[in-house]
Amino acid sequence: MEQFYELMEEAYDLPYGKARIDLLEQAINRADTLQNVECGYEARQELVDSCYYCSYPKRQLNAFVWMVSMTDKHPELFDEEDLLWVYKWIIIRLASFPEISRKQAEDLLLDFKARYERCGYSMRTYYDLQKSLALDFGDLKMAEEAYASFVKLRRDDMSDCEACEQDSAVRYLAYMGNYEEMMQKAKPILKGSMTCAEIPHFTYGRILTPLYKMRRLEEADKYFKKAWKLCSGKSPFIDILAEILFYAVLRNMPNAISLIEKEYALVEQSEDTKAKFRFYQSAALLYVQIERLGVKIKPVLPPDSEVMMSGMEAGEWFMEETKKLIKLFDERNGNSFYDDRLQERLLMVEQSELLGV
Amino acid sequence: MTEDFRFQVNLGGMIDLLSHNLYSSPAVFIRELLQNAVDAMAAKRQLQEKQSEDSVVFERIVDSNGNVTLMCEDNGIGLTEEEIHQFLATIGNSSKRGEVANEDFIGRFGVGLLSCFIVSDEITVITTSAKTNETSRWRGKADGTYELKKLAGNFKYGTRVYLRIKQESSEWVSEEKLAELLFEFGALLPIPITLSSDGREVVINKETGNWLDIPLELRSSAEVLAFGRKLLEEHFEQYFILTTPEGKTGGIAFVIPHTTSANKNQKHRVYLKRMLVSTQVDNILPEWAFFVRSIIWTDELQPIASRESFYEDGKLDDVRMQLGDSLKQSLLQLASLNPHAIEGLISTHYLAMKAFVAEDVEFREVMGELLPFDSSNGRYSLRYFFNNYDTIYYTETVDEYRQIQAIAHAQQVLVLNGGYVYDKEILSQYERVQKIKPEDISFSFLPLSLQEREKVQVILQKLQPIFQPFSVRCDIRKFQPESITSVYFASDEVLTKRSLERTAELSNELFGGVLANIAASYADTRSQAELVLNLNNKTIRKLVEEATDELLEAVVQVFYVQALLMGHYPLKASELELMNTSYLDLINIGLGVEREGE
Repeated sequence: MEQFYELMEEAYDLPYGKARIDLLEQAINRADTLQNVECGYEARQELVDSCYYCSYPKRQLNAFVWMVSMTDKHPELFDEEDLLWVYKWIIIRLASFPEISRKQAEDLLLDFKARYERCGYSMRTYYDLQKSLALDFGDLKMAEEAYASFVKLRRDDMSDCEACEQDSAVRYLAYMGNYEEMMQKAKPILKGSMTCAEIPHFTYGRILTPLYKMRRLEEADKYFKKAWKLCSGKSPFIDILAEILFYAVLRNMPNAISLIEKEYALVEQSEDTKAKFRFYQSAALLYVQIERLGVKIKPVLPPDSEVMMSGMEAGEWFMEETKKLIKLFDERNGNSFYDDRLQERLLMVEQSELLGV
Repeated sequence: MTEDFRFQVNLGGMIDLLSHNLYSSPAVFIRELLQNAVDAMAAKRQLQEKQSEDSVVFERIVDSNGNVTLMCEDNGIGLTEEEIHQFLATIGNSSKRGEVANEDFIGRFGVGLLSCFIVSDEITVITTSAKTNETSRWRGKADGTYELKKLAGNFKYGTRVYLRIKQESSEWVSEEKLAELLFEFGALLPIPITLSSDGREVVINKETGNWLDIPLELRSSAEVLAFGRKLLEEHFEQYFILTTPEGKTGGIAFVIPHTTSANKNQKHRVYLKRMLVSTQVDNILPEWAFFVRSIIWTDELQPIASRESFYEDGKLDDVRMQLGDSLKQSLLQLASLNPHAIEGLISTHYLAMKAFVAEDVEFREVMGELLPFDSSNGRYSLRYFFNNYDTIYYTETVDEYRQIQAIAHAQQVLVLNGGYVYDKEILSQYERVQKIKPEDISFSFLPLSLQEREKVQVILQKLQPIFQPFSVRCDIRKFQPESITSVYFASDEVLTKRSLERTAELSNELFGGVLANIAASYADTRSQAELVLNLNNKTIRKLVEEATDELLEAVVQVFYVQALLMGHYPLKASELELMNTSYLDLINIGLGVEREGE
């Protein structure tokens, strides 16, 4: 067991990142080999947290499921309530994996609901998550119903921080195409009076395309810069970086090219399939724009990346990957939401007038 | 004659806003009083050619019932009646916008005064303007009413603020607390701050107020270390002077004498125009500077509304970079002048130093070779390895290192552990150091003779079906050391998949199903996991030569499980079962017990 504690200590000293995750997984292996459930739990608890901060949702899900299973098996050792907060992180990423069926995701959400009810927490968080999942599934009707139930209930100890809730409403309104109200909601965040570790990063990124559609370009250009600066190089923000990239594709190609060059190294390693897909999609659109405008300069991507090793034209590869993933997601979701979005964005690129070309 | 006025704002709400949302602690009222005094004296200096001696006095007055009144007196510019109206209007404006950002002197005065309502229900200001020599008295209450009166008589210019302290706030104005807070906020102010209580008078910043007026380079290191100890309340042994090209920001970075976590941004003590902004500023030095705590003074950064930290703007970025550069230059200088001192730093702040070397070419040249690494031949500095070995390999992960090291050691191949944070980034920058993977270990496999190869083929054909269910390929080769019977190699994908399957095994249908779906999405991983038996090993040789099928199966299964355990890979349920049955089979074979059901 000595090695277990050594590994844990080493891990605690490391910043959130792959090295820390690796050590925690080794600690878990030690604990499991010796069949020490409590140590296994301790290390996984740390792993679930660490995965959140550097975005390893698959490893996180794996560790969490183990913790739930052990908690159910050994109620005398572990407390169900300790799982409730991180359970939110698990639910929110379920739709990121096309391997998880919609039925499975919804069943897990019900399991989540049952545990919250059992521990006496408000259903507000449940509806908030249901709304987010529904948006990911492209089921706007379900999202609308969930949101309506959500706003009726009061906050409690399991609610996300106010800045996160506000941002979540911004995301909802953006999906619903209700842009005026979205900007209204975004106001306290944009003014800086609501912040947290992840806000305004997300919000800046989300409002770019809506602002573009509203032709409020000056504002959008301003938030583009801020958004990129905040999210740059951080794997939990890959899907937002994808939005930022798309905006640059519509507005300013030199920016778009430097963005993909700077951020791409993060993307292929990501465990989050949805985030990866969204970045691939923006990248594919970038190459469509390059083609359309006859831009001479092509982005320089890491030579050992999958796209460069594929032997295909980068633009073709990105489009093929994008379509492959869209097919998986749309089949899983039972609609054509992701494909519709790609078509819409292709049209936007077709009609865009750029700066600085 | 007095006139009653009413604020145009909900003062109660405003006070609540300030005390609960804007400021982190009620203690800020002291800073605001100090700031008002300092500003008033600065304004006075612009007005007058002849300079009078600046001074601020805080006096604690206790009545017979034990109620405390705090008086703060300065000999600054004072306010005219019109200016008092102006600051009241500013409070109104600030509150309408829900923020406090006014930067002109008069407006700030009002806002600063407002913070005093956090500890007081009634504030009286008696002020004599140096411009007009008229004296006014303003008295405001927390319920929003105030009165303003012109006083006759001959007063010296300046301002006195009287706070009648609320009973529940008396802890903030005890003599010790006041002394502590005045030192906290005003230690570096060049104006003497006097605290008067019960007839005792102390100049709080007597020793520190002029401290910054002498260039740091002229101070002895004992003086600087003592200064750090006084302000940061920690013992230090080493420091670096921080400067910026324009000289508008400077500071002292004290090396923390113990190992610190790379996760934690250190809290620095930062002064703006010599007034303390916060002791908790964590964004003024680059992230890599987590091995120092510092005292920083600046004249160029923009404070946020609460004046407790700075706007994250381009200016802050510039200053952070410049301070970082300054620290870096000092380190480089130290490395060239006194490598010994750097070795000390490396042993305490190993991670920070590795971070430098990983990210900075200049650092790599100066310090890279001083860094120690774990290797299959022990822990030495990179320089030692360069001097003693021709070929140096490193692994990218700790796991890979552990798999390889025994074999590498036996073969006198030097392998460094590049698995810890920053290690591989550093090692990959040296041309002489090459990456190695466990599967590359085949460089050291010895060739089999033709005869051996034929035998091995037959055995392998028997073994493949046994291992198919476990998604592992089996191979037989020759390698050192002879004592090792078998090694298990697996790619990251295989390990992730194993781990998902293990969790799925012990979960209910719902959770297990989800994980199984994810595990299934990994492509066929059989080619990425391999059990290699060592034909150099006596047992394996004997097994290949003459074992019966039955014995071969049981023994190889045991070796497989053993190899997993040696590599610290926890067993799946199916492998646990395999372990149990194969051990039992072995025992039965040994005892000559016949297998059941055959």
